[in-house]
Amino acid sequence: MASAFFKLDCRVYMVKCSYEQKPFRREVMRTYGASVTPSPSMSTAIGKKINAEHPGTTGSLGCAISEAVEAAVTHEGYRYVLGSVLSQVLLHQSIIGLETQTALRQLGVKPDVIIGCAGGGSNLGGLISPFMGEVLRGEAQYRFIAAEPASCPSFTRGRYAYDFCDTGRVCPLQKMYTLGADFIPSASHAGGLRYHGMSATLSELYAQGLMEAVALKQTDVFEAAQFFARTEGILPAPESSHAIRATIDEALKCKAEGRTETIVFGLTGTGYFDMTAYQSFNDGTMSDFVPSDEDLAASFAKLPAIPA
Amino acid sequence: MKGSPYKYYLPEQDIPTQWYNVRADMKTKPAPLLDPATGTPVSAAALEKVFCAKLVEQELDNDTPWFAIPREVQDFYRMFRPSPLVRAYFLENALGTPAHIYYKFEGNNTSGSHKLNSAIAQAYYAKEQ
Repeated sequence: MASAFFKLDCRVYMVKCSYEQKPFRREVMRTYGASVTPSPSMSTAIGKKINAEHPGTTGSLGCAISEAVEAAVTHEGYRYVLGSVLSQVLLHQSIIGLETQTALRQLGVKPDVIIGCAGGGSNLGGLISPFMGEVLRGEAQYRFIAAEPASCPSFTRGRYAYDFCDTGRVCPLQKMYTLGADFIPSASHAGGLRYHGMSATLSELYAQGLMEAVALKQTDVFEAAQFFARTEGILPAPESSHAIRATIDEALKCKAEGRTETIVFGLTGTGYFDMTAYQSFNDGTMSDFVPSDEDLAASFAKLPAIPA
Repeated sequence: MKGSPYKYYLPEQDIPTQWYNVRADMKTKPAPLLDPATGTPVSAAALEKVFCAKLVEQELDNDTPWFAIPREVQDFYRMFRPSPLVRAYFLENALGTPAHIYYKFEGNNTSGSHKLNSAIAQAYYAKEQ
């Protein structure tokens, strides 16, 4: 949509399992003029390597990033565009938090808790940035909660360390909460937020104790999504539904303790492209994959050695 | 506040014209990106092979709190912004909670998510370059 607006050529490397699970998202992109390639593909050197080492892999964001970066640097006139993790994206997404902050002021409402779903941090960072600024400048106090999937728990079980941003190890190293660049969440995980790492800015804020995080199982997340759809009317994206689950849990805690508080959460999008995931929830076949400590230890063992 | 409307849209003239960089207010900044070959902070020149120059500036700037949103990006935002701030009265009632719940809904554009907010900015700087 953005490329079409500025009449730019757009090539998309789409994680293979998303390419297959979300055919309509793929077709929307093609309608707006993008060419879409499932990743790992055979059209880049790193894609070929990953396919050779992991035959039949369903791909990961880390693989797709490597392929897109390789394609950008090897083709004249192309640059890499990304959806999350880096600081430039958090900057642009601050429009979400700034609008929220202004609207709440106009309504005369001061929030107590601000909740966002966390994959690479684009929505969470964008939503909380202006409010975090108030906290950092000593003007206000808020609780911030990152809601992440238990199947890809970067904040709650990751290491705060330098790691590769991509599987192909072509991108710069970033210090962040990470599960290891080779970590790939189970293919049964349908809730998005699949990135192995996290925004460096949010990682540092979390390390400073300015933010909390909760890890949520996907069946609990989809239960909240269904409840929200039936009460508020909006069909939420699975990603957004992590924030809904965390909000419901917080609101029920208020109820149990007889406490009033004001909660603001980010509803990042709609779930029309995720009906395959809803179908497995509705059919009762959705499972909760949570990586074991051994799985994570094996992944942490491959973190690059960088002096702290 | 009890009297919040179900949906609140900012007046169009109140849509922000600047982005906010939270790093500017952090006393301890995020750790720098490192070049994997040398282990030293990555240079702007190296990043410019991957990203547009203006985006590299934004990426590496830990100190400037506000960045002007280019006019063309502001115009594009007006297609689908402001996004509504919704008071979740129905959800509050269904839960029977005394909590007041609001949500910022970013799903009202064709892409269906907040990702467009940054995509349009990145596309703008690419076109400019």
